[in-house]
Amino acid sequence: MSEQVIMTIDDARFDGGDGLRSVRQKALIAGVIGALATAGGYFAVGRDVFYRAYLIGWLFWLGIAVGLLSLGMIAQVAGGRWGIQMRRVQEASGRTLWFFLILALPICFGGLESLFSWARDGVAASDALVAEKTGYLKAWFDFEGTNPEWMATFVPGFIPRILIIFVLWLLWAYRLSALSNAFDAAGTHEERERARDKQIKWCAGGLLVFAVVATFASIDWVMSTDPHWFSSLYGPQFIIWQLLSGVAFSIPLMIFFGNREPLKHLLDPKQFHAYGKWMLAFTMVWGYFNASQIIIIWSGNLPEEVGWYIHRSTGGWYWFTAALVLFTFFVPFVILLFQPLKFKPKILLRIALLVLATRWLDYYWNIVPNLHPDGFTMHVFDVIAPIGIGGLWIWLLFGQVQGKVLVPVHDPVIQEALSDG
Amino acid sequence: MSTPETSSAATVGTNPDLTPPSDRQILSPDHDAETLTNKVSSIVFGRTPLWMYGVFALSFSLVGLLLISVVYLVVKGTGIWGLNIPVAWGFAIINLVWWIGIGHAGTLISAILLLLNQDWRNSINRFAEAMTLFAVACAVMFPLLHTGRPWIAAYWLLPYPNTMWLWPNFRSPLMWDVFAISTYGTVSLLFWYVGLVPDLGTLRDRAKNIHLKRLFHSLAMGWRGSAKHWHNYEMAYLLLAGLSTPLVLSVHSVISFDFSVAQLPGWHATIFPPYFVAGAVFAGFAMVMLVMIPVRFAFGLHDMLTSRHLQNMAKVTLVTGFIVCYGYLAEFIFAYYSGNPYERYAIAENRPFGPYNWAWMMLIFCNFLAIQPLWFKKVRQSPVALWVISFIISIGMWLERFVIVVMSLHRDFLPSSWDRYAGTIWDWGLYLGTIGFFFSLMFLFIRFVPMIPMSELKILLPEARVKGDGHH
Repeated sequence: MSEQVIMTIDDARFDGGDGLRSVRQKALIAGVIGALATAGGYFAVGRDVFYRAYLIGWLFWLGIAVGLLSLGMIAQVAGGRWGIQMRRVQEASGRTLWFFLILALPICFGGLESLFSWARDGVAASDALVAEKTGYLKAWFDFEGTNPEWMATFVPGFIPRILIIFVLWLLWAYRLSALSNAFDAAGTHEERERARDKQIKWCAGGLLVFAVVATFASIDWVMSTDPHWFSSLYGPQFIIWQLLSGVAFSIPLMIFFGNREPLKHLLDPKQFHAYGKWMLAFTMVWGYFNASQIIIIWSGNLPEEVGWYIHRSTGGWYWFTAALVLFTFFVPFVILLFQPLKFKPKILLRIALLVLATRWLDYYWNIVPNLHPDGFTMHVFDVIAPIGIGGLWIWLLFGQVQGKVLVPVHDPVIQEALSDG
Repeated sequence: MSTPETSSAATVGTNPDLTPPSDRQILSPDHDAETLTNKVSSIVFGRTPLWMYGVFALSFSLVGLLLISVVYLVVKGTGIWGLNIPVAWGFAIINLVWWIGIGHAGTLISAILLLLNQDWRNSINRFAEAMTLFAVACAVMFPLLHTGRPWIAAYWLLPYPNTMWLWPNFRSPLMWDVFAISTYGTVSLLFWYVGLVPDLGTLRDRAKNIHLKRLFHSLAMGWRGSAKHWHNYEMAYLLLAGLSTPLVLSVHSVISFDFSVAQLPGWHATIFPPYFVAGAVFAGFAMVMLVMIPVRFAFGLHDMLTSRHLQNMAKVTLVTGFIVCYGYLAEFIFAYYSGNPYERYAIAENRPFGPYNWAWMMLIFCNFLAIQPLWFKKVRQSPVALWVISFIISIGMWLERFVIVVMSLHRDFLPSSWDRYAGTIWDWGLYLGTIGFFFSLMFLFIRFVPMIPMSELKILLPEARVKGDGHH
């Protein structure tokens, strides 16, 4: 196919203008105020509330950032016209991940004992189940007294694991961006094809790596808040939480970029429809995973497993659980079944905001009943901490797209879309 | 371009005028509506090729073995199988899971790929759907025969109001299996049949033999191909696709509950439902390639089942294979993380080092190592390589169920209750018999029904795309 010049690389750059400045400004203000309030909250609300709100806020925004990056990778591997338009924005999200590594420092060096009972002194000595897992549930590299013994040598602890997880994420994020730049800079068709092939291979391999990484992330950051409980479906669930966050956050991003060059003519209702379908699919998978998990655990009725559900179905948590199921599954599921609604950006935006809100509820539901099994609890600070983290991250994300090439103009799929458009 | 109607299946595919399709095409560019119809229907109307008598005789002789195995089972009871306590579930459940899994590719191809607008599915869907039906037929034999008295199995399995106020246990996943599998069979049959209706109309119009004409006439249900007929047909097809989509997940999830709701180490894992579903699609695609590659060669269907079809199927196989391997990894990680010594022993000691470790090692070879060549395009383009890999996967997926069922049961909690297990000659007879049954039905299908959907392939022709996207 001979390549038509419809859009040049320079046309494909996003300069943003006032719209971008305004979003970044608002995000920065919200971020700074939120961050100050969060920092002040440490002294006002106490360590326990502070760290749980902080962990949930961190997981919530991290889920969006990794979810966006993973979606871009899925789009590249699967091919087709639904995903390529937003891929460069999704790649930009990958380049912000170092921010979350920095934000992990307070959890590692201050909040470990507040959030994770296994990290407290003497717990392993008095709790037989925790004692069995000390080879894994440890902060650093504890060589003595770990169980089983071989884990002492080969398995790093919680803090080095965070570092490994983020190094892998960042490696892929920056590698994919570099390959995109190489693709844009390539002069000949062959060079481009090589860059594209290489990127597809990195994306395919990356999805495998991300799946394994997510499994350890899910155990460390969420599951081990109750050191007794385990569910081997948790890794896939963590992946779905992140993908659902990424898809839902893509909708406001698509509305923003759909009003501005260079993506203006590429983001039509069909793209919104595709993202609506993904949102429906991931919502169904969320329901499927949760239903499977409770059926298996409830039927098995083992003390170390079923307690997790008993905490969530008694003492005020019952209503929280019911609301979670209603708003995370039934409401978006029923609305998204209607095809015409998925073509309408405004309606989709509302559903996306609901989905994002339920992402936060879901992290809350997965973590806080482990820390407060006796009864429902929530603090206004639980909402403040995520605002601070989110404001700063959005400011960073929009900084990463400024002046960047957002349309891979030489990609055959984009060529096709542009000439149709 | 048009070609004279071929009268013998043996001459099909030797048409010298057709340009071979390129690597990315799903249909030879030289085809038009007439050549497509000629080529596909000539397989049904042409003479039976000699080789087909041979392979049919072979598979039908295995059906004989099936009949002998069933009769002897009914006369003597399940004692002729290798079952014991603790291994009370043996070949029967392994084969049930294996066969049900094989059917999943058909449902995935017909329903999910249709909803995802993957037009390459149009040439392989009917073939895969037929496989689903036959695989389900093979699968249901095992639990029914395992009851020992299959003629009164319905009396135990189906809930109906009776004077003794006896009900099956609704909390048992075995009960859910009855509903899951029967729904699956029914919807798959409907989907396959509805898809066939336009093609049965074509066959009715082309049949010269009066008996065949009458047969196709009644099967086509008065299909005339009017705009209204097409409209209703497409609506019905789409609705059935929507109905089948959850079935891809639900059937094998329910099958996985048979194991995972128990407390047995090696069975009780929440990863089981998605891990079983992925395994089912993995095994199903392997079986589609295993059967389709020789058929494509024998009937010269390279212009309709192109390299792109094989490559796409290879990619789906690779992806689902990795999900299955993720399941193996998750089992290991969580066996350790659970802190449960029985779980750790079952997964991390008994499997790699126990008496059946050969099965576990072969499983890792078949389902992990053997699929790695699929990363390379050269391998995905080679039908021979794909066929060999598919064969290895089919063995690997049988071994996976052997590892899960037998290796978990034979050493449970108390070493004093441990035992060994091996299938007897009757276990193998029944298993090989169902393989023969499956292939006999497959050959009858290939011979008497258009195995490639003519009506759906025509949608892919350039002239059907005048109005933008064709029928999507």
